[in-house]
Amino acid sequence: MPYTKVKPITILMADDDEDDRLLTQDALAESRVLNELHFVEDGVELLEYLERKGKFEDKTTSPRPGLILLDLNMPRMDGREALEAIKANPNLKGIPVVILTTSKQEEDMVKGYNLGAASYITKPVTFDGLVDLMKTLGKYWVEFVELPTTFND
Amino acid sequence: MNKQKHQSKANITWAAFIVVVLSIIVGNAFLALNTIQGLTQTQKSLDNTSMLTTAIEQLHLSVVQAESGQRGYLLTEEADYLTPYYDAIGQIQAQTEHVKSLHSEIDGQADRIAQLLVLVDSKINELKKTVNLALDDRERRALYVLNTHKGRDLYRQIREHVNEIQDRELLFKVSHFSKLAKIKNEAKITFAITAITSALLIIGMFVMTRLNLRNSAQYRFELEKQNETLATKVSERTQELTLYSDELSRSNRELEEFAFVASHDLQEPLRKIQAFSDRLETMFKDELGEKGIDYIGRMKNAAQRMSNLINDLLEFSRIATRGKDFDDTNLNEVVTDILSDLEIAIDESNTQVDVENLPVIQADKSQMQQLFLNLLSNAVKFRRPDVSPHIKISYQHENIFSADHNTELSFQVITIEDNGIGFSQDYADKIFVPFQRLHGRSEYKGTGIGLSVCRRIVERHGGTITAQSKDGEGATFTIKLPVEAALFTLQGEA
Repeated sequence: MPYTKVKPITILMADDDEDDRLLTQDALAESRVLNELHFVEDGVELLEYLERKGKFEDKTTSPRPGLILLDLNMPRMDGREALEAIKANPNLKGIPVVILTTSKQEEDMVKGYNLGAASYITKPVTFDGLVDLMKTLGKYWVEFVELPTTFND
Repeated sequence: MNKQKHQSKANITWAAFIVVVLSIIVGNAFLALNTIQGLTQTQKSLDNTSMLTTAIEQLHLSVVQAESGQRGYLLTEEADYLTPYYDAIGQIQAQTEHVKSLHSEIDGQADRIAQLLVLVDSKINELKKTVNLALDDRERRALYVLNTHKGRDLYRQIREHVNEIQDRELLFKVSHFSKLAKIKNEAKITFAITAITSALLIIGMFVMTRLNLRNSAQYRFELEKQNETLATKVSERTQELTLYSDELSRSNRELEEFAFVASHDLQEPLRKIQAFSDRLETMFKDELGEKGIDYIGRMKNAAQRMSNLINDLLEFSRIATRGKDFDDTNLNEVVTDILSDLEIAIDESNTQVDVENLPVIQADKSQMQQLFLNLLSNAVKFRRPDVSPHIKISYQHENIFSADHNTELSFQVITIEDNGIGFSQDYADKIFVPFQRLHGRSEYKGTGIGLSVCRRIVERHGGTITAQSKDGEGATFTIKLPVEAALFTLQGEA
């Protein structure tokens, strides 16, 4: 849908934790951010989704995300490797990636930013905190940030 | 031990050798001295007997001369004959004195000489008597005296005595000459013995020197061998230590991984408990009722406390694994920083803090900050309700002999004294154990990790921390840090 910013961007969340996925979904609903939220469960699925492989072939059910929420510690391929792969792919490296993790370790932060993460956010402990975060993210990435029009194909 | 035995054996050998050398030298000297003494003695005896023989002979001659003078005069009545007579008479006196002054070494000879002298004296008297009678022109009487043969008998006796004395002296002389020859031979033998023993000594010394050189060469060889063994042992031990060190860093890494798991994987479920508690609280507030909300609140509290404990445990385990290298750290700056961090608490509690001039030490600055933060915040936290806190930080330098290091070591001793609630001395060790608390959570907040973090930091710097206190009378914490921290720590173990 070019020439318009009305259609909200798709948010893709990569997290192996089912509870977190549920809580994020709830928090997003609560925050009244009306963006579509899609989930993948690890780095491998994330790359399959982005490259439209396997069950993510269908463009309508698996639209290209305008923002990726990335957990760091996941099975098969963790967030660091996935981030590296995304930033190494010229077709994907433009998608902003926000790291959303429980890790507070300095080196994870440094590595995340060095690999090209747009932000590094520690998962809020309370649900209210999560709702606030979703509101803020929605406002920032959906309302304020300008993304190229060809971006959300 | 073995070397010492060798040494004492060598010492004994050397002592024995010196004793042998000395006794040979002394023996040789004694032999030579003895020979010389024998020679001198024999020479003296020979001289003596010669002089005695000559003196007796001269006395004899004088007697003969006096007698012949007397006879000549009596026969011819010519005064010319009296000249030799008077000469002889004059000499006899001196000659008798001379003979008296000489002593023969032969037994009985002195008696014989004395008898001879008596005879000579009688003879002289007889001579004088006849000559005097003749001079008085009483020749007949003189001739009569002469013809009594008294004078002849006297002379015969004199000659016999002289002959006997001379024979004995001759015998003595002969025996002494043979003794001289014997001593000469002995001297030759002595010389030969000295020559042989000297030669033996020189050979012995040469052999000893050779032996000694060979022994020292052998010792050197053994020493080198021992050094090699030692070097091998040291390298083996080093290898072992390296292995231990590797093992230690491996286990440290494991601990770190464990800490990471603790922080992440244990925090994760807690976060869920808290998040879903929130969801329950907001979505089903009415259905839960007051009691349900209270339970959920307690559940959230417990989860929060566990989360704090996990974070503290993580911090505690990271002291060793995430410590920085030691650098010059000015403790005055550290304390100033911490006091400014605690400014609000200090002002609110009206705390007085006295700080002595503190040293610059080799330390991890951030850990020193942590150490002083924990101790000072404790001092403010555990204050007596009715007394405003007074904290004294003092410093002194101490030298203590360490048996382990066999040297005197310097320590920086820092004490932090407060006037707070204190504790019974029975708990002085317990308070440094992780999560040990002496008070209920409602009285004083905190997990009880603070002092164990302090101890861990001080131990990482090679030091010790101890506490002295009495219930209700304040507490004193003493930190002892070695100046040469490197001696006590495995730097770079992380």
